[in-house]
Amino acid sequence: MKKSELENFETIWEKSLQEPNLIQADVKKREIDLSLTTILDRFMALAEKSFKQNKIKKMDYDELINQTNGFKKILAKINDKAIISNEMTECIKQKTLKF
Amino acid sequence: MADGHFQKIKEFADLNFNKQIEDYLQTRLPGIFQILSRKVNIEEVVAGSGTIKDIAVDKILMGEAKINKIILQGTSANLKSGSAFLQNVRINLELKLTLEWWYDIWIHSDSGTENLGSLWFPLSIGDVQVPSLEDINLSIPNVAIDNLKAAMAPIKNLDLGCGEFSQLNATKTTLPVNGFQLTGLGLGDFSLSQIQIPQTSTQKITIQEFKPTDEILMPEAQVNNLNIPDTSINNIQSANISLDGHASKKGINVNLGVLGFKFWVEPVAHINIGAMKLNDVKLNAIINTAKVEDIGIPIDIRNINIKGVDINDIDINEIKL
Repeated sequence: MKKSELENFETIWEKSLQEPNLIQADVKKREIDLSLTTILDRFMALAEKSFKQNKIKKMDYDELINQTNGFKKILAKINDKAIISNEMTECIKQKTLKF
Repeated sequence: MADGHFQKIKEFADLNFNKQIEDYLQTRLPGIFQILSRKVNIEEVVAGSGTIKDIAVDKILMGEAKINKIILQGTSANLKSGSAFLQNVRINLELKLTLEWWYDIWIHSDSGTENLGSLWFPLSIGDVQVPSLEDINLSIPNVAIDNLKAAMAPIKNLDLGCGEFSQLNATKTTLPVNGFQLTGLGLGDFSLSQIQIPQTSTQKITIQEFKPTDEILMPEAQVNNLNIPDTSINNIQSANISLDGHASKKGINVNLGVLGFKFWVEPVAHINIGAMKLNDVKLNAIINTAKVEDIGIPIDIRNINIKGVDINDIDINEIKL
């Protein structure tokens, strides 16, 4: 048996004895865009699909577009994406500390 | 006139007397040699052929033997071990973890694979006593070992028996320093019934060929059906042993509708044994044939006693008494 093999085993053995019961996996953190602007864009795409399938009346669809565009203007003004992103970052930090 | 006649008679008598003495010496000379004991210097003795009734060698000192090849044929061995003892057995169990994940919450979806690293479980088993082991049988058809060297013990009291030789050549021989005796010497066919040479000074003796009548056996040359009796070996202890055992990875699949994952585990057992001891080991081996080829041995032969030498076609160039 090579001496290095025994040394490797002893190194791992000591490391195993001192290892904590819970270890943290080293993985990349991922963020999801949950801003209202993104949700509205996704919803309007679905509304258009439903309108083309005659599931929504034209009058209702037009009003939905008008109201959504007005809402998106004020959301862009306050930069809702930044608000949501900061909040989620804080939330991830807290969960990381908690778990 | 009378004086002259007398002188002729005297000369004739002298001649006749010298002839009688000469004839007497010719017939009696061997008798004289029978009691002759003195130092003789022989410049060169050349013998074309001859026979020897017995050659006895007091000691042959042999140097380091060079053996070109040893062939062991039909070797079988049986190893019996009473018990085995594994000292300080430790297992480091490694679980390699891998996570495959996915999610789809309509507004967003993603998937990926994460290497989560390993979890280690140190298991100290300690000493393990194995009560009994099965015999280990080994069967080796042929084994050839090349280019060996061996120290050879001296051969003592070697008796080569009868034999024939040819082309003996001895130069500058003095026999012996303290005198010697020849018996049974005849001038016709040259024969010696016995020569004993306790102390001889010879510059060089060569015998081109010597063939003993009896076959000369080299005990180490070939041994058949060599049965090595049971040999008890108290304990056999190994060095530190380290080995790894791998198992195939297994996983579990979890599907929560909007998200799911596959959790994979691959176990690896890192095993270390401080030492393995075999107790009460007995070894039995049988070698059908042990054949030794091309043995080269430098030798030094001491105290040769040659008896019953018959030499034909002897040619002694010069003898000094």
